[in-house]
Amino acid sequence: MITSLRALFCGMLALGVLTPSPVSAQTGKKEESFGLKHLKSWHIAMPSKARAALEKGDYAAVQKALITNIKGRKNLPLENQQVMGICMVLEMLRCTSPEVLSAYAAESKSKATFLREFLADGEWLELYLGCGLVPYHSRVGIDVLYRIWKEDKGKVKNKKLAVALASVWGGGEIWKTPPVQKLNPNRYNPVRRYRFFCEQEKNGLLHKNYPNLRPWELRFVVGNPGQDWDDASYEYAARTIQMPWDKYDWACWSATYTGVSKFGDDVQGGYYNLPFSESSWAEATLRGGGVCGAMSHLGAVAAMSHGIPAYTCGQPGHCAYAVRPERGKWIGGFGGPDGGMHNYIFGNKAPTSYRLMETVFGDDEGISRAYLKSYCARAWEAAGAKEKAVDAWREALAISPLHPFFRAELHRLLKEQGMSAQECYDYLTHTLPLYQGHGVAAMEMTQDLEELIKAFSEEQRMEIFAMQHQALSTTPSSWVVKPADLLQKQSDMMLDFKSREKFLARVFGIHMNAEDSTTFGQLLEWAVKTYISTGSAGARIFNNAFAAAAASGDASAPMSEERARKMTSIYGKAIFAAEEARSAAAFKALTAGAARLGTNPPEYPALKNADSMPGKPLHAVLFRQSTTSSWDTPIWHSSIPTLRGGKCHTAKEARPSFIVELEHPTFLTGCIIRKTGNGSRMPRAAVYTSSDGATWFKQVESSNVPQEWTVRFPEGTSGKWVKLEFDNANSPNFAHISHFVVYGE
Amino acid sequence: MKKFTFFLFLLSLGGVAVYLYYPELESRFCAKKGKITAPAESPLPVPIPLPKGDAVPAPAEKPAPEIAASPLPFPESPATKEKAKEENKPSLIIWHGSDWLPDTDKIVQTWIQLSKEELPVIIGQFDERLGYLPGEHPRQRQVSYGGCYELPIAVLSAPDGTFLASWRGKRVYSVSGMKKGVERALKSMPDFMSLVERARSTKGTEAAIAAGEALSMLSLHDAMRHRELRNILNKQDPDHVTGYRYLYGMDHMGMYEEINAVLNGGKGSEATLKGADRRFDEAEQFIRNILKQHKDMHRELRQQWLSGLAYVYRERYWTTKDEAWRTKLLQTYRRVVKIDPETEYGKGAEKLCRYWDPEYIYVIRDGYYDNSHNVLRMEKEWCVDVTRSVKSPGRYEFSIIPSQGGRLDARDFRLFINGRMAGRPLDAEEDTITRNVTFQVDGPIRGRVEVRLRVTTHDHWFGCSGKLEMKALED
Repeated sequence: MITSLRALFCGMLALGVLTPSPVSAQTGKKEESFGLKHLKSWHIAMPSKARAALEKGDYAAVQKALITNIKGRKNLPLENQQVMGICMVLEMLRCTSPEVLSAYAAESKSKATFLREFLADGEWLELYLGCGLVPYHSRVGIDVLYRIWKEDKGKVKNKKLAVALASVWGGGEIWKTPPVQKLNPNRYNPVRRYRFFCEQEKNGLLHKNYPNLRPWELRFVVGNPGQDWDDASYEYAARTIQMPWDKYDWACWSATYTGVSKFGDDVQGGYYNLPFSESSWAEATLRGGGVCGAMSHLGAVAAMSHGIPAYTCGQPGHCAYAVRPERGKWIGGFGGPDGGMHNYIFGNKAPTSYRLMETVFGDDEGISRAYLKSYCARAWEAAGAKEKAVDAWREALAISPLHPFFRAELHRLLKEQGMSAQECYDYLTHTLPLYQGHGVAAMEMTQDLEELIKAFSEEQRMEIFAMQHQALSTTPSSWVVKPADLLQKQSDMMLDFKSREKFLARVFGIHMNAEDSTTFGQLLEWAVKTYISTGSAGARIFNNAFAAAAASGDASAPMSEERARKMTSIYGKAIFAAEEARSAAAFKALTAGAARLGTNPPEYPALKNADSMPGKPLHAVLFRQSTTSSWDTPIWHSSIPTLRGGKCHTAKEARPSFIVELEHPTFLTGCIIRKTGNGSRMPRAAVYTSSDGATWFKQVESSNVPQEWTVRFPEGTSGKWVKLEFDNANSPNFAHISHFVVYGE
Repeated sequence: MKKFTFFLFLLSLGGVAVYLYYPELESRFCAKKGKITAPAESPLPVPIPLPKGDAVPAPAEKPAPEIAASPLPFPESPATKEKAKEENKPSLIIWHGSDWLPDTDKIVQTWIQLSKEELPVIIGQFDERLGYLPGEHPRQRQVSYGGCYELPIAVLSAPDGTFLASWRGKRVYSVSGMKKGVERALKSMPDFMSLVERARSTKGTEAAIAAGEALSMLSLHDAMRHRELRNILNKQDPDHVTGYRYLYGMDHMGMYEEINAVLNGGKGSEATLKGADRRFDEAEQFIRNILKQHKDMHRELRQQWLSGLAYVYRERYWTTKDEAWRTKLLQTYRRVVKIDPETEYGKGAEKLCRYWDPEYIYVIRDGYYDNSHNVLRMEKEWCVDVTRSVKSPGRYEFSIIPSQGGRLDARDFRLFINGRMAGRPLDAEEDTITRNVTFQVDGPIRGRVEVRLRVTTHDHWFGCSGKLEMKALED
């Protein structure tokens, strides 16, 4: 009997009474829901009242009927598709708003039909709501889907791509009006872009990982049109820029770097692009060249047009980009991946945004379950059951603990329920350890609870701050992340000098031993500015805290050999961290502090050409090198750009480099470099100059660098940074110099 | 009843067939009914289509698979150069991308065929996938084949490794084209190499002339990427005695630097002249002398220097506002176009001709203006086609809605129907600067409806983009 029934059901299927799931035209593979695996292409069955309201296009009534349905339930199990369907529709109504949906449905019969179909399609709705950003109180997202639905004649072939386009075009709760909405729809057309990618995939021209990309990843393929150029640029870049699959981080160099156009116009002026303005942005850049902005966008659009996620990002005075050939692996192009991302889900602060995003969305199954839980939380709240909503948020966070939007919602509800300071302390001591490796997210997460933290006892506060810094110290950081605001806030919450000193010592202690010393460098920069620059009392706090952190008592006390060695090592690490953080102030203060240790670099013979060089030796505010090693002596780095000479030693590298940063941009006449030790290790090198610290211009190169290398720059050379880069491409090796003295006017 | 039973029987029969063929449908159907039935086992994975030519798919977490051999049978670049040196023959190296360039098959066919031709060269290859040393980046490699990154590219070098010529684009896919090109380059190789030797072995002006003459024998693209000869030229002729540095020693940026130096009072001059004090006549003469001295310069170089001349005229026009300079400027751009309309200079100058022509009207049909309609610091006429928005007689509001910041001044709005002026705004005088005006459109409406206006923009390109809207007003 069962077999006969099965056969009957299948017969109905065969006759089209029931509709099987859509099949991707390109891959022949069933479109996979990224929700519960068994919930492939499924129909959302709504309660009869809601269904009747839906037929009428009255979405407020639909919402009301669904909330009533939720109110009548004791729990919302994930396994119950009908319930999940209701929760998802409710979430869709919350995001888009019943008013927007009703108005949209009223525009035409076709739109009303589309909306009914969309809201009944569990798979599609789940993809849309789980894309990272859901268009908020806006018709843009549904309109993009509708237009693609029309394009595909009611059977959308690539739903993942469609929702990614809807998401970037429509923005989200934290990004309500993306700039694309103001742009020419003929140049930024989601349907054209949809067709483009379908066509590229059909022709086998996309990266092998493209078919596996989830909608949130596809956001970085379809691009943020307000930033990532027009549709024609995608088409042009796909045709024109062909790179080895793993080298799209170099695609930007397909164009010529030029600040002056072929017709004499400066890149910052309005005429630069005029001769090529009838072309797409990509074509104009390839034909006319550009600087960092245009080139980074070109590199990103080249990668995206080949199915590789990418984004462009802003840095101070510079623009860069990043590409992602594999999940989780963002590779910088033109100085990226750090910087303010122009396309993002969790804010535009790199590396927080992309690292956090990769962690949150990294587990497909987990994040989909967490999202389902979040819809339950929203549904409970809409039904007035805030306790249950809190529980559901906690359950969602148990699956995806770092999701910042979920966390913010939980905090909102907890505060509404009158969370006490002690409860908050307990909550944070339980939660902050989960943020190991995501310190910036931990910093941001606690911002919601700042008022409660203020009410903690001093010890509790210190404990929470230490936990935050513990998370920060385990985070692969970047010079872009500036924890100064957090440090200032935390320091301000300490009542007196003694507490501040204790706080500083604790923080120093945590970061001093961190593997990635960049945050330590940032901390030093802030501490130098806050304490040393403000006078002797501040300097005392700094020195005592620093010495206490080094666990060696008063820094000014006479030192044993052992302690001096230890302090030299700590200062060395601190100075290198300051170099990494590019903090001239911390570099200066720490070098001065290290001078008290009484050790001096070796005495060197005078430089042979020191007197005959045109100009005079220039004062350097910072010296930094690409890597360090156990033979390095960072406490003597500051003497390297002087006639006195210092000592430094990189690790084994293909291209070890040293950079001197001058106080001001100036005209440069040349430099003198002296190698130490085995000079034959470093036969090939080049010297570069830069005005922004990011874009480098080669001034001279040699394949036979003498022990003392006197370099004269072409007349008119100017810059603020001078870089010496050795080239050991064939066999990585160390580099060590004693002098790198820059001359100028 | 019998019919119904028979129908059910047929239905069941069809169902059994489908069930046997698609057993997974059951679990899907059951899921639809709320009963979650996991499939007995995971369905077999469907192969994912790979990018064309990608023969080594691998999941990200697995270690990288061994790289397949290059599809071309030629030795890699260093071995080829070594062999060329040993046998005293030129080398011809094809730089290609075996696993990522969509038309790799064509390259393979062409070059295997080419290797069968009787060319007195050692053929080699640089496979982008295999040719890099660990840690090496494409940017570093560019230098070795002339500094451009447009693969595939074929590079011909003398037996001692001196760069002779390169071919890109369609030529690389053509056996006869390549053969012809290589033969031609080899024919001129003895003369070219003797000049190179002279440039290498002498000093001063003699070396610079030899380098300049050798560079003149190459295509401009190759000449500008011949690092060795350009270095000799720049080093041996610091005072521009031979004039070759103006051709091959600098790119367009260097040229503008030279022009600006003359305009601003000469190199080394302490005072930088500004505005009307600049030395326009000297700058013009400076460029004219170069053009006169090298009458046989490459066409694109001539276009470059003429663009430089146009730049001087433009600066002069901005300073004096004397229309005579605008006329000269336009004439110069037209000369640039005439020399070769297909080069970037030719195409760019054509657009600039339209921009600088006071009579030229920008026509906007899709309701959006952007940088291609830019009218920076200069008032020009825009003609906006609003036919689709004007269906019937009545009052209409015409608006300029910028999408970004930036100043845009518009005035002198006029309504045109079928090319004839049909009225002025009800609420703005000719000289009123505004972004919204109201028109009374009298019927019947047949044919093309346009709004014409005069526009000036004041910011860089961001200031010139937005929407142009014609909306019917309700009474």
